Amino acid sequence: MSETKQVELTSKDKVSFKVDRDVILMSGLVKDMLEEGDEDETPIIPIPNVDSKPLQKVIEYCQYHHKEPAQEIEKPLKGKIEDVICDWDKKFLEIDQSLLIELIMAANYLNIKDLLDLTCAKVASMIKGKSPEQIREMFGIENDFTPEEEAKIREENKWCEEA
Amino acid sequence: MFPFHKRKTQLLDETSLETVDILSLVFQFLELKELFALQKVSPFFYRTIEHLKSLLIRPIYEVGLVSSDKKQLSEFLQLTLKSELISSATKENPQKVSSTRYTYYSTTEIDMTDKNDGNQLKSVKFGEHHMIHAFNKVEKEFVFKNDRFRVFFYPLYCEKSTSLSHDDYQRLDGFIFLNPNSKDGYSTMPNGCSYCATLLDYNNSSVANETVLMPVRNFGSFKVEKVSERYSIEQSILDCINYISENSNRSIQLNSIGDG
Repeated sequence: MSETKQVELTSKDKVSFKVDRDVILMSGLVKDMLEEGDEDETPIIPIPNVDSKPLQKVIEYCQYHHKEPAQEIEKPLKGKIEDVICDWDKKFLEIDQSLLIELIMAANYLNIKDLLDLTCAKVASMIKGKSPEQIREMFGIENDFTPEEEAKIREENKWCEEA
Repeated sequence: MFPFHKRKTQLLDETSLETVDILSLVFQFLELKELFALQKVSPFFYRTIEHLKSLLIRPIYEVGLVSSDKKQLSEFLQLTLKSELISSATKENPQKVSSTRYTYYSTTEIDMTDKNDGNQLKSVKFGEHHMIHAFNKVEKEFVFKNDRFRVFFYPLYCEKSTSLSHDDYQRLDGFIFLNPNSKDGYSTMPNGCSYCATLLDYNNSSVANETVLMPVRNFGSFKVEKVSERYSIEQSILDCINYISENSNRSIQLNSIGDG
């Protein structure tokens, strides 16, 4: 029985993860790098933009979804994201907000479209129905509009605001 | 555009192009009306959404507003005028809802005598399989204004016998039907239907047969009552526009951004 080929990923904080080649081929970035490298070696691929925590989650996602392809999430979301994703994804997304943002950045950097869609849809779902103030709090954003700027936006968008 | 200040936030690095791309993707999962409300969050959100709007929103939509009752049509116009949705040009004479026949070079004459009694908008069999609503365009249109797009509403009056302007059908993105059964309430619209028209040339010879889909929202989705507040009227209209924009083959599909 032939041994499964593996790849070693090294995170920004120098933690190494061994992962099956077939699994990590879900990443467009890694796939491109492997195609350029030597087939016989167990390649070590540095992932300098991603810390170990989000990288571990990325690997977890790929391990599950390389055999169970994710279903496309409809744009725009008509309701909550929980209504359109599988139970495994729901559990997978039970993470704190800062890790979710790191995971989005990781999915974008590693070019894993399905994971990027899933995490972005999750953020969209969290934003839905929230007031601007709640969203500022969620992302740690400071409101530095000038009163004039606020007035202009209010004027532009008054048709979609409550009377 | 505002002179926005540069600053860092806890979770979003606003100086990164990557963040702009990601936020744009997040916003694609939101409905248009939800997107507009987010502009007030911060200058970064404002800029990102402004950019998205230029990609997502088509500048002009043209929508037919249909009724078989002149009074109902007139009242609806006055209602929208009161809520300041109508352009100032139309304000001059909002009550006038007179029928105007359009003389395009290619029209299909349809005799609807005994098929539409003038008080109710009825689906009329045309040809073997196709349904048709026939109406005339009235004099005044009104405009739903927004910073990035305009929606031109063409009030359309349905009467017994009329000329169908093929050009109008081709141009309009969709139709809103005022409820024919309840003149005091503008609450329902029929399902979308298709029609088949025979185009005639100057000599009244047939040149083509075309089937056109008229996308309208399902029953019960357009909820505007006489006593409605501005907000609910606008929300209903926006819902209709969203639906039309998603279903009209002339409109940009909102989820197609990024595909090229």
